[in-house]
Amino acid sequence: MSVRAELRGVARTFADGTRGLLPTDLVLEPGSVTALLGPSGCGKTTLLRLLAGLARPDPGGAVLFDGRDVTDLPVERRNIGMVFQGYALFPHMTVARNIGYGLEARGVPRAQREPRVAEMLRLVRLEALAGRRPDQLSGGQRQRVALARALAPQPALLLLDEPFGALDAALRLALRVELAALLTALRVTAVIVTHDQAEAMALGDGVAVMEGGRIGQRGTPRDIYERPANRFVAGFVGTLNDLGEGRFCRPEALRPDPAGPLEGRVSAAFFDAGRTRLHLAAPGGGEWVLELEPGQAVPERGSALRLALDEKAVLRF
Amino acid sequence: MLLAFFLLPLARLVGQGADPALYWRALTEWQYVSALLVTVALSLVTAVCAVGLAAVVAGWLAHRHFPGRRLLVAMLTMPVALPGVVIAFMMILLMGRQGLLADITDWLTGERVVLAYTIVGLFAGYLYFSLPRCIATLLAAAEAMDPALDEAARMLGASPWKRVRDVWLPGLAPALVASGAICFATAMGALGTAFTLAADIRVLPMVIYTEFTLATNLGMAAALSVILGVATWIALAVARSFGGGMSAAA
Repeated sequence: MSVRAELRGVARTFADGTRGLLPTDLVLEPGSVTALLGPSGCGKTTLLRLLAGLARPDPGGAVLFDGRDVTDLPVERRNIGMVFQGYALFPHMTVARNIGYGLEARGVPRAQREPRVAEMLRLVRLEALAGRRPDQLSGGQRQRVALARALAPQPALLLLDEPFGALDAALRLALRVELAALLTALRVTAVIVTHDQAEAMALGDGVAVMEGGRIGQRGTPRDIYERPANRFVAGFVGTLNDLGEGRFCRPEALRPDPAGPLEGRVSAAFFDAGRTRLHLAAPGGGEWVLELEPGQAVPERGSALRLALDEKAVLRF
Repeated sequence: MLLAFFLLPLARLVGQGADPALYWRALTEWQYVSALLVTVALSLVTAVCAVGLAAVVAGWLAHRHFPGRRLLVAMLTMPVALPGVVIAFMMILLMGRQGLLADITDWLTGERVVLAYTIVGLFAGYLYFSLPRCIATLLAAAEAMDPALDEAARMLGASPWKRVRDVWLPGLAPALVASGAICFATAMGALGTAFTLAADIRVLPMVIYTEFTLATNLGMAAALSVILGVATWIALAVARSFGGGMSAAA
C-alpha cells in the first residue's frame, strides 16, 4: 500500500513572484517517516502542498508515486491522507461520519464502511465518542479523529501538517509517543511538517531541515544533530555553543572540570526534571549552555567555572 | 424621547387600523389578497434566486485571488447604493420599449419585446437590488470559512457536488438564511422600483400608497401596513436568529 514518493526538480513560485520553494529533489522511501523541519516561511508547508496536489509545481517539476508521474493527477485521485494544521474536521458531522467520509466519497457502501470506521475508532481509542460532534471534543481527541479520517481510506501516503500545533505541551508529548507507535505499526509512507526540532527528531526516521525555500540538509536525526551541514541547521536542531574561530559545540561536549581549558562565568541556572541547565557568559561575549549531571553541585551565579571540552565533538563552520 | 419617536407613529398606525373588520377585509377581499400573494411570491422568488446566484458567485470568489478581484467585488456590490427608482429606470433602459432587449429581439425576430412593465421586469429590478447585498454577505461568510475544509474533502476524494453539499452548504447555511430573509424583507417593502415598473401588477406597498393617496382610505392603508410590517419583521427576526452579527452587514 505504501508508495515511494519522489519530487523531481519541483519548485513553486507564488502569484506575487515570491519563491516558496526552490527547485527541490526529494525521495520518500516506502514506509518511511520523514520530518520536514524548519522555521515558518522556509517552504515546508509549500512542499507538503505540492506533494498533496493542493498546489501545482512550476513548469518542469514533477511529482512521482512509484515512478508514475502524478503531477497532473487531481487531489481527489491521489489517494493521500492528510492531517491539517487545524484538523479541518467537518463541524456538522459526527466523529464516525468524519472518519468514514473518505470511504463515503469513494462510494463504498455503508455496510463496508461501518466495520472500517469501527476499526479506526478502536485504533485511535475513540469508540465511546463516535456520536459526538467535533466541537464536543478536546484538542487531543480532534487530532485523533483527523488522523483516523486520513487513515480510513488506506492512503498510499500520509501527510501531517503541524499535527501537534494546536495542543498544549504535556499533550504534545503524550500524543507524539502515540503517533510514533502508530506510524511504525502501519508502515505507511508519511511526511510530518513541524517547526519543533524535538518532534521532528522523535517522529522521523529521516529529517529534512529546510531553510529559505530549500532543503538545507537531509539525514537521520542523529546525523543532523551530530554532523550538521551548516551553522543554520546546527542552530535549528539544537543548542549551539560558539567557541570562537568558527568552532562550535553542543551542550553535551562541555562539562565542569577544574583543570579544563575553558572558563566562563555562571549567568543563570535552570532546574528541570532532575537536570540543571547552566548558562555561562563566555569570555568572547557570547553565551555557553551545558547540562549538569543529576546530583552535581550547582555553582553560584556570578562565579567562574572551568570547563573541559570533548574535542571530538567540536563542529566547524 | 427616542423611544417615543419610534413608538408613537407605530401606535398611531396600529390605532388607525384597529378595526378588526379592516383586517378581515384586507385578508379576504381579492384585490388586497392578490396583492399580498403577488408581493410574497415575488419577494420569495427574488430572495431564493438572489441567494442562489450570490452563493455561486461568493463560493467562486471566496478563495481565489487574481488581479482586478477588488474591482470586480466593488462592481458587484455597488448597486447597494442605488435608490429603487434608479434601478427601475435601468430596467426600463434594459427591457423597456426603447430598451436593449427590444432592440435585440427586433433585430432577431422583427418584434419588439417589452418586459420592463411585466412581472419579469419587476423581478429583474428586485433581483438587481437584492443581489449585491447577498453577494456582500455571502462573500464575507465564504471568506470566513476555513479553506482547509474544502481541501480536506477533496483529499478524501469528494466530488465538487459532494463538497457543495457537505462543506459549503452547511458552512454557509446561517448566512444563506440571513441574507435570504433580508432580501425577502427588502423586496416586500420596495416601493420605488415597484412604483416605476409595476404598471399592471399590484404589489402591496403600492396598494398601501393608492389606498392612502387616491382612495384616502386611511384605515385600510394602516391595516395593510401592519400586515406588511409584521411579515417583514418576521423575516428579519429569522435573519437575526440565524445570522447573528452577519445580518447587520447586509
